[in-house]
Amino acid sequence: MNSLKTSWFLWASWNPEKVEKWLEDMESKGWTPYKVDMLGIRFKFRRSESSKVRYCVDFQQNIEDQYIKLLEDDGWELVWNDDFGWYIWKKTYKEKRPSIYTDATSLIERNNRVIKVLQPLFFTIIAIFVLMVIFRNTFNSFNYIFWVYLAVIALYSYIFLQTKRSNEELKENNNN
Amino acid sequence: MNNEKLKNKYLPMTETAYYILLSLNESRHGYGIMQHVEDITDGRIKLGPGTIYGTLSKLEKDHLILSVAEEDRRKFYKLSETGKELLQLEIERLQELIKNGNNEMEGKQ
Repeated sequence: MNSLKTSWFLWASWNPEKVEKWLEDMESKGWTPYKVDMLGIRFKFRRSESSKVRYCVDFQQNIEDQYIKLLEDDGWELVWNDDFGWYIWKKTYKEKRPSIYTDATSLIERNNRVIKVLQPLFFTIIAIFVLMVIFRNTFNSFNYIFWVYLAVIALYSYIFLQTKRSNEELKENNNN
Repeated sequence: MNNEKLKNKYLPMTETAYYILLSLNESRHGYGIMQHVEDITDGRIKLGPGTIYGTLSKLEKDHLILSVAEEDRRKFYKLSETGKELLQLEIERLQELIKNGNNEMEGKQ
């Protein structure tokens, strides 16, 4: 039987819970990731014992030294992180499923940090798009660039707006 | 120090903020706070490390707690005078809740 396998899992900033769940399912089926790459969407697994493992996604920029230490002290193991600020943590547990965030406020703040990073680029691409429309006659290859750019804008806007929307939902639930 | 602004922001307190501040009546690091809170609530409250880290940063920025030492990447904090005042106000508020609760419910069962 194969003891190694590679899987791709597309996840983005508005639903990190999906990749958490997926990795937890993989662990319960006896697959544990030993390498994560390609911006955090390619996972290489090896066979292991089926176990209850909690995965948590965090987003942190300019972390203090104590961040990593605090999570390690509490038994969390860093699975992956990138230069952008994403962290995937895991912890094996027996009874109660642990979380790195135990209150809604902290989770909302995590999402706010993501939004703060995505926001400037969102407004920039929208502004460039407006300029492209205004000065469309000056480009010769306008047609081609336009459609490529439109696709990029659509994708980015989708990610940005979905992230904002999911956080608004969290906030509303928190106020009820 | 703008006390009114801090009062608006922190009072009434979340359980998380309350127990973190309470733990910092003595100097403690993040993981020490987690253990202490779990201990004094008989395991009812187990604060996550992400929650602790975020709340500590926020409390430090608002000068309710002070960083007093750092050992082996563990940062120790303690209540500031402002933090103490705020915590005291919250305790008084909670006492009022309990007092009124007891008064109103007594003999009405």
